Amino acid sequence: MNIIEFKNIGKKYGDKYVLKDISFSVKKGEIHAILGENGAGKSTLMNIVCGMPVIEKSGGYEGDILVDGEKVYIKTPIQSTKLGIGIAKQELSIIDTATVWENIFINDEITKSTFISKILGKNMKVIDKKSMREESQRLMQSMGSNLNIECLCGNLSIGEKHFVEIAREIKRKNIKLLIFDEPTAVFTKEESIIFGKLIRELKEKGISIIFITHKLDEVMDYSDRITVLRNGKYKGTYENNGITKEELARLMIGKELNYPIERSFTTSSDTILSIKNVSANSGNEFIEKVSLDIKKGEIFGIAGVSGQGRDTLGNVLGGMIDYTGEIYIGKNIVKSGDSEDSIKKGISYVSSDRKGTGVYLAGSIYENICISAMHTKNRFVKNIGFIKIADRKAMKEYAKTCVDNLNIKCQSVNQSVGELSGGNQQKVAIAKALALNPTVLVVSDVSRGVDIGAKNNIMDILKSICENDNITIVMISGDLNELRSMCDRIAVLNEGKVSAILSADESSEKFGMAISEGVKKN
Amino acid sequence: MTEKFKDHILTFILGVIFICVMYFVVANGIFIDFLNRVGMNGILVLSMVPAIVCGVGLNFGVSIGMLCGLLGGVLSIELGFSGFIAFIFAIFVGTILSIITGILYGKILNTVKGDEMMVGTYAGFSIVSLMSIFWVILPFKSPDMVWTIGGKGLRTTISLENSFGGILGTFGNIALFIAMCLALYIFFNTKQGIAMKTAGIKPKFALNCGIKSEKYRIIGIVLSNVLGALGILVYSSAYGFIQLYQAPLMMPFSAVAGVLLGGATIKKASIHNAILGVCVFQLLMTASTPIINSIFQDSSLSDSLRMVISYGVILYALVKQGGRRLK
Amino acid sequence: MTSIKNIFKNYTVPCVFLILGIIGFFIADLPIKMFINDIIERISRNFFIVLSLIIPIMAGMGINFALTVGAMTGQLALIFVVILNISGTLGVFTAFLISLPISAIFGIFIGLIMNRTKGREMITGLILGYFFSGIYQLIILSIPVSNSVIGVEGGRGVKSTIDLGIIKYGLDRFPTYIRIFGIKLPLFTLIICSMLCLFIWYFSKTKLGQDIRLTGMDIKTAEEKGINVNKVRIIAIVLSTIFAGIGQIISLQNIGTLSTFGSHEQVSMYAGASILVGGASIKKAGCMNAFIGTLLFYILFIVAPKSGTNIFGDPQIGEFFRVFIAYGVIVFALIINNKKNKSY
Repeated sequence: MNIIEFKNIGKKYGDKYVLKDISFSVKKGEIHAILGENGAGKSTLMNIVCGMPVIEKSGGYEGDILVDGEKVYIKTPIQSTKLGIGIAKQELSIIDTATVWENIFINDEITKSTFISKILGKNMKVIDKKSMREESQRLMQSMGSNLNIECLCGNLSIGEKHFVEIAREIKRKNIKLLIFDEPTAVFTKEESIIFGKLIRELKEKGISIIFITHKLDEVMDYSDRITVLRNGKYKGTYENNGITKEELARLMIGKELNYPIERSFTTSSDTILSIKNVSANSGNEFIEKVSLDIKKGEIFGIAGVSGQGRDTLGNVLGGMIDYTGEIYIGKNIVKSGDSEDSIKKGISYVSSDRKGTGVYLAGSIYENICISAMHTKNRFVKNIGFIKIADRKAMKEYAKTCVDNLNIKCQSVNQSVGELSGGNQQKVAIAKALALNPTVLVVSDVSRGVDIGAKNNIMDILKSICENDNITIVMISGDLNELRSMCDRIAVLNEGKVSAILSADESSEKFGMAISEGVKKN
Repeated sequence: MTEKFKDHILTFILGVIFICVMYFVVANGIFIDFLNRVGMNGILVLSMVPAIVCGVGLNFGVSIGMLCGLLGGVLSIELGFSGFIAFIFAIFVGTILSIITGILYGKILNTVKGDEMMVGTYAGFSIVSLMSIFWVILPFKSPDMVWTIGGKGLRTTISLENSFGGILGTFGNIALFIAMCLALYIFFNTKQGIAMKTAGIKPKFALNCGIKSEKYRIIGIVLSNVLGALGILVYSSAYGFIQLYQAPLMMPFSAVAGVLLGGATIKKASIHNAILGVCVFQLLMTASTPIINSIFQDSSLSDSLRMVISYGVILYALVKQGGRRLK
Repeated sequence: MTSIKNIFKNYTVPCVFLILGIIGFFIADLPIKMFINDIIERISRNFFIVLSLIIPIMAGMGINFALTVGAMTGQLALIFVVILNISGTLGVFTAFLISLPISAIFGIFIGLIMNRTKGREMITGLILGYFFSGIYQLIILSIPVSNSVIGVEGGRGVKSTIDLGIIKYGLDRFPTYIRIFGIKLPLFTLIICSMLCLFIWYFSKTKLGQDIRLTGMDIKTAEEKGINVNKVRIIAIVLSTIFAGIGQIISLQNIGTLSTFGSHEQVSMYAGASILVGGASIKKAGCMNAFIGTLLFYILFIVAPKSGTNIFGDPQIGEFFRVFIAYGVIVFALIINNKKNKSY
């Protein structure tokens, strides 16, 4: 008996398909895992099932969904809720300054009629705090958690907040299917055990569970069946006891490619960038005690699923956020959270946030390329007495050489960057970083949202500056294939820590395991 | 296609209205009045530009700079200077004080990012009240300034006849205004100026470029304060009187409205916004005075009208800017 | 000892004002009975309007500086009552009734604008207050009026001061004053204030009240979970404006004179400062904050001029000082509030 069935589900954003021909089903009372790495399409699929507005606003989806045998087209979150589908997302919908029971019953409160409400309407009904408190207590206990329901949610750990979200979903009487998006990413060991017990109990009650993950351990521990997605395509559904971790890892990552591409120089054995015990926190992500030694002249990759720390490490290297620990360029220590110092010491950073940080869309190409160099290295200025006037002529000339060297397609250097395509915007960001004459160039998600032609161009540019200009490159990316074709060595981040440092030509299985497993706890 | 067309039609209509009003003004012989007003208010409106450019927004606390200027003026009279020297001395003292207070005020504003307008308004108000106490208790002796019979401290309105009243004349004021506009223009093309512009418009991009936006916010506020000090001295000189106590309380709002009328927004402003804004605002004031006087015989109406226009314009800018991304 | 330290830490602002008030009281050297009568009169005059700030704070909109608009509708209502020549308690209640629909309409308009400037409600409210003040002034100056009680000679414009003798003490005196140990208590007024407190307390326990509270805590999540945050915020402002109108009428029936140009001007600032002095923050306020704040703020109000005279020989200094403190309190509260938000 299938609770939900997907038939040829597809979704495209603009011209690009992010999901194509996905067909599988989830049985009633089954724990079903959806496994895949970045860009596999897992979150998109779940957005479709939950009727998230972003799907409708970008043209809806193709294919059919059957819930309990009936064909439905899910358009809104309310519709999805009415069908009995609930979701506990990674970005929690929890109000930190409200108590646990208030969050469980948000906009769904138990109310009592009073004299006044009979006159002024149902909004003036008094909320029945006693009943809500009792119900919340009951729910928490049935989940096996001993959370205090009067606690303010801001004081809870992320794992505990997740439990509150779950309680909110399971209190609904009509719940048939519960979806968890990367749940165990936030749980401690004890919380994971509670979670495991919880989903097995829900399974007994006949509620189906889908959980989305990139972690092989949890997949093997909890699930009955596993569906693997890769690059928006369906790679099969397997019984848990019919497949091994290694086979799953290989399915997640893909075939072996020819590695490595020959390079015409040798990496020196000098360490140019030394990262020692760096920890940092940036909102949803963190890194903990990361230590890496990057050799002069190499292309060093940093891989890992989104949210596991890649982005934070990039921002740390770029001086955008504070950190504890030490970073050395050669023998010089870099000041924490001081981008001006990082640049002066020789690190240039091309951020993964192209439109917000990498380029200034309303500004012209030449301004984008030259402002940073002008400010930190005093280039492109004319000195009149003690006043430093910007030398726009010099800026435009330099920008022209960048346009030629990097093959930036534009009308003129006066054109605003917002009018360029994604790939060309990225090249402007790279030019900006190169204008600083860096020793180390850090690029993060450099080919995301860039068409294939520009992407190859950028990869060639990076290789050339590494070989010819002797610039060491740190390449942060979620695209493992790209990293394996460019880098000498790749560090994999998981749960904020370095789980492995592999050479590019090691097996896909090893990469798969490194990406999905935590650091081995001794 | 139609967007640009609509824009052009709007500009055309506004241009026609502007010319009609100008004609009316010239015809009624009040053109000099208009020029006077522009000279009086120009620098005050200009003082808003550095604050907006550096990312702080509308500097409702520019009254702090104004008070520094007033203190300079008052000191100049106390020390017996007259004529041009009095003016230069007042500007000198006012500038030094506004640099110091500007740095302090800028540091405070850096700690309340997002609430600068609210904090600025009330910081301005409270300093005006604090200075009111000082106008009473500071030991000034000059007979031009102190109450002659009874009462302690400085008079509310102090005549500048013997000091620097009218020192620059209508065209002198305008020339000074243009000079400050040019100075600001040059500044915005220097390395520091460009850094400040970048920090104000795109703080994250600026951070990636190695620009520390906090430093440039302070520089912007200091510039704004200094222009505020200079502006109030020019204003007082043209008016012929220094007004103390509660007078500077609401003056920032006129300056804010002026720059907004010239096309600036809370996030973006340039020098031509100040020039255009002060011209439009003062044109409205010049033209409306005879009209209102002939209908209503009550000149306090023009004051109310100025209030309504000023606050309406600021309200429009706030609504247009929209909400803030919370969290 | 540690608990006193704790009280000071958690309630810094009220404690500071208590100390200032006590110091001021001794410097001013006012006769006690007169002082207490004065304080009770000030509280009965201003408590209601301070209470009207609570609901918008609950809704996360900060201090409703557009309270001025509510005050103006109250004044308009009183002008009508003077024209209609209804006296005494009946006059006051008629004014309440007339102000209700006008306040509601303005409240909706203000709420709509504040919904377009989420996150900047306070500065928007401040500017809205000044804007409507300007329009109100234009109307007052130019409207043709034939009634001699309120109109300027010449037929155009409303007088700058209107005598409210016919309804003076209409509320305070009803049915009579209560005297305890020679201290005059306007019982009815205080009862009406308590009724508002009761309403606010009941309101926060209703579904609508809970929706407002959750919106105030985290507007993004509240909206995600289906609460109609825009509607809820408009309701909060409408209620606040209505209560402000009533509050201003209560205040004026005690003063007995309406200063058409000025009575409403400082209302929102004094009310805002009062509630902040009482320990409220921009995100959290209750009836207790309103009461203690009104008490402490107006103690300072009363003692400051006399203290100024006794120290400096000039009562004006005392007045400037109390205005400086009122503004300063608001700046201080804004800075603290901003820091607290950052810690998330």
